[in-house]
Amino acid sequence: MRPADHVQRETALDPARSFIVQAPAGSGKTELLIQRYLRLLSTVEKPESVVAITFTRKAAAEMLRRVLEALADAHGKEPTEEHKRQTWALAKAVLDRDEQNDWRIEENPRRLEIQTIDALSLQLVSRMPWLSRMGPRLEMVDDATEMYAEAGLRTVALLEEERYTHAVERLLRHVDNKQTRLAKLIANMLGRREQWLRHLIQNDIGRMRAQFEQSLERGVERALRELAKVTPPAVLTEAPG
Amino acid sequence: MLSYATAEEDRTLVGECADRALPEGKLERLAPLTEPSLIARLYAGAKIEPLLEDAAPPVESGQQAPGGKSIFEFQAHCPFRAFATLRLGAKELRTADPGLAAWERGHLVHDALEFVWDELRDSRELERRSQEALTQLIRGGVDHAMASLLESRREALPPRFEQVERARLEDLLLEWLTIEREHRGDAFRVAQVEKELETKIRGIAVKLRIDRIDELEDGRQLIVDYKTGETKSKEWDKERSIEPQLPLYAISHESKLGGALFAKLRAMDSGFQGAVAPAISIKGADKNQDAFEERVELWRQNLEAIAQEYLDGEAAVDPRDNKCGYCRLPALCRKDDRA
Repeated sequence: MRPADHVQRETALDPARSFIVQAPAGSGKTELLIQRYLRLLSTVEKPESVVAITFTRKAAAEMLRRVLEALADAHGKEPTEEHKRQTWALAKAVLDRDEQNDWRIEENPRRLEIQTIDALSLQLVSRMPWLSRMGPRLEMVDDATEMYAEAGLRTVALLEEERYTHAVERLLRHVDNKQTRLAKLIANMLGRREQWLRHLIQNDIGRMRAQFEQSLERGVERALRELAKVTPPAVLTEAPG
Repeated sequence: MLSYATAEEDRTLVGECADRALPEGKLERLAPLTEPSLIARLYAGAKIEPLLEDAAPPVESGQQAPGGKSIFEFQAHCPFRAFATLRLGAKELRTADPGLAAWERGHLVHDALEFVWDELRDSRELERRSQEALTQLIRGGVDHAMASLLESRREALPPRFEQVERARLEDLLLEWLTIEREHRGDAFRVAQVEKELETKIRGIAVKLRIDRIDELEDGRQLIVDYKTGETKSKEWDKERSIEPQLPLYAISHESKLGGALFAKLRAMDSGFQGAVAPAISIKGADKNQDAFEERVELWRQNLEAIAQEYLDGEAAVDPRDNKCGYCRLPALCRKDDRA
């Protein structure tokens, strides 16, 4: 039996178009991704031309494992289950391509560009040393704490630079002129930049302020509601406002 | 035997490659390893005799016990900390932070206030001066304190940073003088500043220094310690107090004492804290207790007990409340291995 959404699944394999796939857990998103990846592989000259990106190394390793598994299975007989047949056929096409172009993927699985977004960025940056203003010997770190700390300190040191004096001075007065404290706060923020960077890059201070104040307001209101719940009604009516 | 990694941290490694590396058909199903590991076998044959050594040799009588006033804080916090730091000389590595260290900023406040009280001398003069005059005086105090710091630490204070620091100090000190004016019910005069004292507790020589001694009109004195960091006057009454400085001074002071005070100078959080005799009125100081003399007597007993413990060589790794706090010795005491 074919799944109810087999038309959509089929459509999503069309290499000429782009798709965003949203579906519940366990519905086979990764399988679909693998199928599309195999489909694309069978159309290119070099396996490196197709890039698959994940957020975590775990997901990248899992995907690589499943692709290799599909290729290994494609050496055998066609499976009888409907949903496995599709993958089998796509993998088979990749094996043919592999042989034609002498890719030898199974001996060199690293040729498959299945990697994290960070690894891809690193690769790009190190191939463009002039544009990125960075040397070729870059390395990814798992724990960037030290770099955040350094960036925090350098930001505080901008106090002595005319352009930034006013801004840094304001911040310093907020933290009682404690340089190390301010540097640490900035470093902590860098570690959580996925939470605020999107606000900052709007480059619209007024709007940003409104957004921040709104979320503060929500927090305050939530706290007040909690307080109201545990406050006897008589006290509530006495309070002004 | 065939062995390969199946995972590295959160990644699954592709293990099939290992089978493939062998000539086909040669690899029969191998039984997974079930024998105990080498380490387990070595340990199984060893005779282990646990020995917990909590006692250091006592300090020989007639000999000077090293450590001075630090003994009281460390021994109360964790006997091993006192032993390792003061008798063995274990020291942590210092790290350098940019800008001023906390103690340097503390010094700035001390120096500026010393200058200010040298001029004011008593609460009457404080009352008499206008806000403008006080601001002017404080500015002089900050100049004085900065000048002595800059002599040795110019590189820690680039010009803009120095400006921000001056502005911070001026605000902080002005707020402080308001507190001295509004939170104290009794007239006082500043009898002494930066007063040093040498004493002996159970034979241990201790050198103390108190920031300020105020004298009330009835002659009773208040000892005052400026604090720019944390203040824990609640510690004073504890049997093992890790804040022994003021109690040490109080039990060694020869004039009649009316109280001991922390003067907490922290932005938005300044005020007095401490213990005073019932008739003395200072906002923030605790007086709902017995007569002040009795309190000091209790401090004396506690401090002498701690001193005796140190002299006896008590050196157990036993941090109070099981909290190591700022102690950097865990690599030496191996507290975590003892659990």
